[in-house]
Amino acid sequence: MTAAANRLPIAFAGFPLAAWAFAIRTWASMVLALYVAFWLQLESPSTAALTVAVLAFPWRGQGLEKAAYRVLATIVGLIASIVIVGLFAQTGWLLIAVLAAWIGICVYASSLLDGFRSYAAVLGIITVCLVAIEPLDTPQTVFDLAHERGAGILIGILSVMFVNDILFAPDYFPEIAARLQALQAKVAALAGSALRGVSISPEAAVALLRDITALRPEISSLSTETSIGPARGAAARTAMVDLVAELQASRSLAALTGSPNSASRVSSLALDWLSSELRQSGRDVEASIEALRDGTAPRDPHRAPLYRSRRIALANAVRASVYFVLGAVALAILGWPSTSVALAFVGILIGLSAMSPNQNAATVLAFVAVPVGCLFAGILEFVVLDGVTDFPLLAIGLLPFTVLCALIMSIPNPASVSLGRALLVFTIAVFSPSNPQAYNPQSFLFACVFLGTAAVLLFICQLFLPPLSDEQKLKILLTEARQDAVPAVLAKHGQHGRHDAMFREAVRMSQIVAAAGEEAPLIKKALGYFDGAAALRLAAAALEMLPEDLSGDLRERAAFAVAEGDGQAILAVSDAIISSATDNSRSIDDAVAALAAAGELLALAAPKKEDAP
Amino acid sequence: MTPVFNELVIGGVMLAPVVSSVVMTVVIMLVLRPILRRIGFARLFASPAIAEFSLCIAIFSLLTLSM
Repeated sequence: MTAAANRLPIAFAGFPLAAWAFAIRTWASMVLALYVAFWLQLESPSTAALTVAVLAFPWRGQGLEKAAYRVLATIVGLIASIVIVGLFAQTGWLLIAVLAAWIGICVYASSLLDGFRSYAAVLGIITVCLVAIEPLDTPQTVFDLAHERGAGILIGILSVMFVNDILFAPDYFPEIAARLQALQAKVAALAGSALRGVSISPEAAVALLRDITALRPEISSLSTETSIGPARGAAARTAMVDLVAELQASRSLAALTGSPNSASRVSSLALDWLSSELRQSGRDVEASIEALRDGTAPRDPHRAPLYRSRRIALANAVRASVYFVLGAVALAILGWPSTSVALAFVGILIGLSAMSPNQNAATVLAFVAVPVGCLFAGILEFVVLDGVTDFPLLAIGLLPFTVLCALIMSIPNPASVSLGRALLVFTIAVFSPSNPQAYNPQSFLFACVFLGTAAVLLFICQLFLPPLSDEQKLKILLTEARQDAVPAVLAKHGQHGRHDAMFREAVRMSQIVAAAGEEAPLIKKALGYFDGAAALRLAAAALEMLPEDLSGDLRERAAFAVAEGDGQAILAVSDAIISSATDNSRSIDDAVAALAAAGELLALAAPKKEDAP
Repeated sequence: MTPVFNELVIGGVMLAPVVSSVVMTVVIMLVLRPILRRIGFARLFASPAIAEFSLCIAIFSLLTLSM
């Protein structure tokens, strides 16, 4: 029912009905959160409203997953704030150094994670900024602030959960299943042409790899949706891994069909084996998508690991710490009163931009969203409400701003999603609803000036020390891809982990594509490493499949050829094993066919490898 | 009758009873989830989301009343 509701073709003012429903849910959650926070007489009801702004998602699972990480990260952040302020409150610049180190640690963790886990790491920074840095001159209030913030967040989360459940927010799994199905249709079309011997263009393969791996952060939301969510999450992850395996099998098959020595006996065995592997992974994908829809666990679950580049994470972490120290120095030189508020905003903006794959774009987004958010808050406070004290009027006043931001968020484009959320968060943060509302133009102006100063400061800091550029990222990723594509590294994965390891490299491949943009030669080079690693891993898996009773000499020759990564030698050994075999048992056929397929693929890649610098 | 509050005291810091109820509800829900999955709880209701949320509220209320 929910999936059908999501696809209703009815639109109003250019937005589908589902987007309007999402906007109304967001507004209702915000009003409920504010009402409860006012009723409980919390000191910072704006935290509850901000939590709703942060957790507003069109689907149920996403909001719940983010809420879980928000609670976890808030607890960690609050403990860190109390410890840091407790130990270093009187130490002057040492305190700034410790805070910068904390920001560095959180950015490092955020760069190693994806999706809402990355957000949780950034929330560690935001919590410390709001609880420890903003009241830097009054450290005795830290514990009370921590308490109030925790209560506000809890109320925000409960409001979102309640409204989403009562107003039937759609489940996320039908959307994920539909996207996996669409990807499967594309991969199956490529597989069909590969079986007919038509080659697959690198651009098409890379685009598909990118689309498949882009689902990874989204899939983790399935686990929180209902009690059968974890099974659905496992099924979706397995489908994703099998899709990459199917795509790679199609590409290998297409490459071997066109190779000059495809007429030999070993080659025909290899081709048969690859075709059966292709069909098998196609069936696996279908079974996993079926399991996702049914809510049952997949037969052979995969983990779908993420590729983590420690060098990129370290570079990001060092830069974030330096930006924070530079910001603190600049504010100390300015010598304004209550600059700790601006410093807290600098920290928050550093955290938010670290979460974005393109940090320059994130700074530009802050540049746009901060003034517009301040303008919205100003209009709401001094034109729309202008001194009213009734709660219903506040609720009506919030309606247009919340609905507008939520509608912008519902446009399926990463830039508008970020812009909509940033606008809503900045509007609420500057407006800062409280009971009774102060309507103080001076505090409004201060908030605007501090937020603006923080955005400008971060921009200037990034001019001094630019964030890691795409070229630098590409260089690091390509070096790591080359270092990983050696037999010693690849042999340790074994048969079951082969597809998981391939998926991990597919994630790196899509990171490379994101950094390389339109540079076709670099993408081809990276795809070469990806193919080489996949072939070597296949060879290592084939070695494990060889039967126990195979002669020691042949086994040693095969192991040596695989360790050298020498395609021709692997082919020669495969031929020798076939000739020496007395009975054509199924296991020896499979093992030799897999070995031969790996040998052929490595032999095909070898001339290209010599061309490469 | 004046209600009696059993505060949780950690290192001399008193935490409101609602905090311990919430934490216990979350722990009980986490333990219940695999059991609910096994008995097919989600398939018994038109809206499994509301059913699970209601269960959560029921556990929280019982804990609050019993403490």
